[in-house]
Amino acid sequence: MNHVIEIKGLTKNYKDFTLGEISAEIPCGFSTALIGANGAGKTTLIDILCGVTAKSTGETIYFEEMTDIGESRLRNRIGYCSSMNFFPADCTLKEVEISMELGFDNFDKEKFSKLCQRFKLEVPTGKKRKKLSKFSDGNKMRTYLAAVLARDTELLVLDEPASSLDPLARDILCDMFREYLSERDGERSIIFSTHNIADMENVTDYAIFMANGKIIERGFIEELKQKYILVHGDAENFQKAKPFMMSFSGNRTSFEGIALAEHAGMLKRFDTAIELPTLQQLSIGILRKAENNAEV
Amino acid sequence: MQKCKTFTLSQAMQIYTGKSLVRTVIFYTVKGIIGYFFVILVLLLLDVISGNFYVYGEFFNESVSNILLGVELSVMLFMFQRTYEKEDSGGKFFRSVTGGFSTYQKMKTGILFSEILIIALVSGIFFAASAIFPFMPGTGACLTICVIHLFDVGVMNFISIIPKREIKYFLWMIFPVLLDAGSVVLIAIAEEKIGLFQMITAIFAIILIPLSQKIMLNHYQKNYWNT
Repeated sequence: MNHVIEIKGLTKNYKDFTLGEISAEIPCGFSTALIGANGAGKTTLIDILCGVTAKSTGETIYFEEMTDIGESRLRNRIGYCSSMNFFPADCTLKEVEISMELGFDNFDKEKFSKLCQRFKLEVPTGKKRKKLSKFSDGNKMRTYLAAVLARDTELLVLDEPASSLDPLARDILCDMFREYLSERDGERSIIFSTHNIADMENVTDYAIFMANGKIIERGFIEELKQKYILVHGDAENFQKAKPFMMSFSGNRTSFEGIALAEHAGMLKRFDTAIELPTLQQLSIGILRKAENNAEV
Repeated sequence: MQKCKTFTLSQAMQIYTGKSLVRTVIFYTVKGIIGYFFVILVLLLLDVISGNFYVYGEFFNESVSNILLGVELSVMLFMFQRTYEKEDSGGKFFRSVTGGFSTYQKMKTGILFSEILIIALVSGIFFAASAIFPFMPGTGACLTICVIHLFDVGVMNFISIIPKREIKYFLWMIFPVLLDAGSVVLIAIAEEKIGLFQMITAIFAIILIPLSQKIMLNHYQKNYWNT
């Protein structure tokens, strides 16, 4: 399988936080979600991949051939947007259009106008020119997305694109992800971080779970759903089932949690119901286990 | 394969500020002149309101006129000191655009040219107009204020190296004001030897501007861009 990005031993040291060492391959032609709690290192990793933050050590190979993110040819192939204040707050949509057109070789003005309309934003060339600082958080994110999607790129790297969007806009974003990937099937890829796992599940093919600056699990969603199971049971059987479970929550009458699929046979003996977990349930299970391990 | 463009100073400025070099120079020159005349108008209005045409005569003299011109240029210089750090709005976008740091470097060089052009233009216009309007700074004062502010451009670059943001902004605000005040006093007391002072300051400014620009950009790349 081709990899859009291959990360080898990447680290970043801050005074109070260390990212890595991270090694991973991100498959080409798919949509990859970076999932993790706040402070897990998702934004730092994205910023390093896009050349916004410098790494301390390690190497990243893009599109199986390029390693220097400072190279303009590589920057043109990657569409990046951050979660907050991506564009200067004092600029208008028209100024965003001008900056994008000048800043990148592959920005399409007409597509930007169409995307603005689709996201129910004002027309960039219209007479009313509001500054981004007057936009709601949701509309700011719509602007960032319209701008980055108006470029003809091969890889989108988006930091929490869904966090400030309403459910309807999130749905439009999912449609746009599908359109982006299908326009050039197998050639384009998306990497995005998210906390809105349930809403973004149907556009996620591959997931990378992060905790405390490290990757704790990764894989295609279908493979992960075969590796892990969702377990339900009555509270009276909880103590027996507990040693076989990765993470759990419960009340006086019942419990629920994630376990490895290889323990399914054993868990069934304790009168439990086994189900296929959703990505949301899987994420909570994996991240909770990482949190518990860190506390120990 | 996609071709990659290289930017002119003006295009780099447009990416960062939304305005080209020419537009920036025109905008701030006009703003500086309008600002000056606006204060004059306020003083005249105060005269009219007071009814005795006394305020203008009482408070307005050549020193006030010199201070006003100096303040206009100092405010403009302060406006150009934005450093576009990663945490600032737009900081991450600017780090992702084609060219990366070389685009930032070109933008800063464009800003430097704009500053010099605006100082020269505003001072030049006032220099020419001083023959017509009695309330404008004199020709000697215009030249002094011009060279003082060119020197200030270099000093402002050095101030940007200070790591503590609050101190940096404080000095960016206070230093030009101190220079203005100093130049006004100097114009008033050393009128005869002012030519020598202008020449020495101009020589210092010519050396200081490119040197400070280079040091400032190297420092920014090392301590802010590549972090």
